[in-house]
Amino acid sequence: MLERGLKWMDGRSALRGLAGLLVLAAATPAEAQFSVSPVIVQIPATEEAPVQLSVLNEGENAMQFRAYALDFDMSGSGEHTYWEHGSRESSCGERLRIAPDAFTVPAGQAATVAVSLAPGALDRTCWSMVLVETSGSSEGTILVNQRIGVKLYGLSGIADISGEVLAGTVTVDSAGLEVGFTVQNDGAWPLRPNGVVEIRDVHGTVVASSRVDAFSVLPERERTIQVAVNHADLDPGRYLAVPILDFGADFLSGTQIDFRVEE
Amino acid sequence: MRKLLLCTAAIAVFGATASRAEAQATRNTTINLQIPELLFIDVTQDNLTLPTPDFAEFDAGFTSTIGHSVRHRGNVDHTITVAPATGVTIWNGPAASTKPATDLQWSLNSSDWNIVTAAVDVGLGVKGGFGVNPDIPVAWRSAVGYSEPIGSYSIVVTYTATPN
Repeated sequence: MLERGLKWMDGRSALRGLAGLLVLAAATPAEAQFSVSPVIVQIPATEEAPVQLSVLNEGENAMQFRAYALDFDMSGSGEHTYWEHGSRESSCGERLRIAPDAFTVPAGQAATVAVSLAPGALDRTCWSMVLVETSGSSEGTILVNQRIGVKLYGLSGIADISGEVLAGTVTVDSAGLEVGFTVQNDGAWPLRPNGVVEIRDVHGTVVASSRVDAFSVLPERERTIQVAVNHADLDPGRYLAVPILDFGADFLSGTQIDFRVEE
Repeated sequence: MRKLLLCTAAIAVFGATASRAEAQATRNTTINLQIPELLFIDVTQDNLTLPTPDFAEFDAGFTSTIGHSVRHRGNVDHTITVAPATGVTIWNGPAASTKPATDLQWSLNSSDWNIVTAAVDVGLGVKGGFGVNPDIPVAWRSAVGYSEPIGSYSIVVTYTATPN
């Protein structure tokens, strides 16, 4: 198919590709725009009161929504994979309640969806993805649904926040300097670390740094993060890359990676 | 007149005392603010009609393209994925048709085309508004062949915004 695709781009068809791009540029005004908050929810084991999700219709017409759950997992690179709800061992399964599961929101207004977990399973953390979805027009060739995922965690009864930064790598080339490192969640609670990557010279002076925005690591999982660092001012020589992360525990975690900037 | 003056003076003194008492009173007020994680998504056109293919396109194997843009923003890093709608493996079409969902392709540059199977990333978003999260232009096309049953076809795809 790829061969056919490349062939398609030859000759007159290339003009059609250009026409397609023009269509992109002339896309019609927004039709179904909405937001959801919060999109990360942690429910303590003993909490029975529902969490209220706000679904705001930012469009110009009333929108119909449905809310439902899927099981999910995250790969080491952060990609989400979905399964039928209740099919995974980690699922919040039948404990999860969503109400309402179908609703209409007038233009410019917000609706509330209550999400709660029935008590149970104090010894383990469960997680599911609550999806708030709207369907587009029913006329056309390609019909588009839009949805926003809400990560829902049912926390185990005892706080268990434990993680570490494993060894990383540094890539230096003409494209820039990129620091990669792996975070391991050793605890039963999900982690949402954030922090900084510092570049230090041989004297320990910080000569460059880059912020690490918060990211999710599921219990007993690893996540590899790549952080670009501006290295325009680094002279040739040896340096250390030092990722320092705050996991929400009472200590910070980090590692150091030795690298060299060549002449 | 004297009594009146005394009374006025007493009120003035009391008033001054009361005023000082109010000025010296302190009261702490706690102002709470909960900032939630939030995400926004907007596909600028939620129904696309692919151009009707002609002989040149049948020979080439693909329709010409049509597209739209995905607008997104949030105060958390996030991912935008696209996938066939849940359970969709074939196009909705004539009764005899089993046109596979994998005939549908998307591209970010109208040059490198991707088959829609499971959820795949079409873009990453960072903390920020539209200014730091450029719209993602997505072009679509479909494989076509002479042997396919004649008729109208449609397929549903789903864009998903998920916090990282």
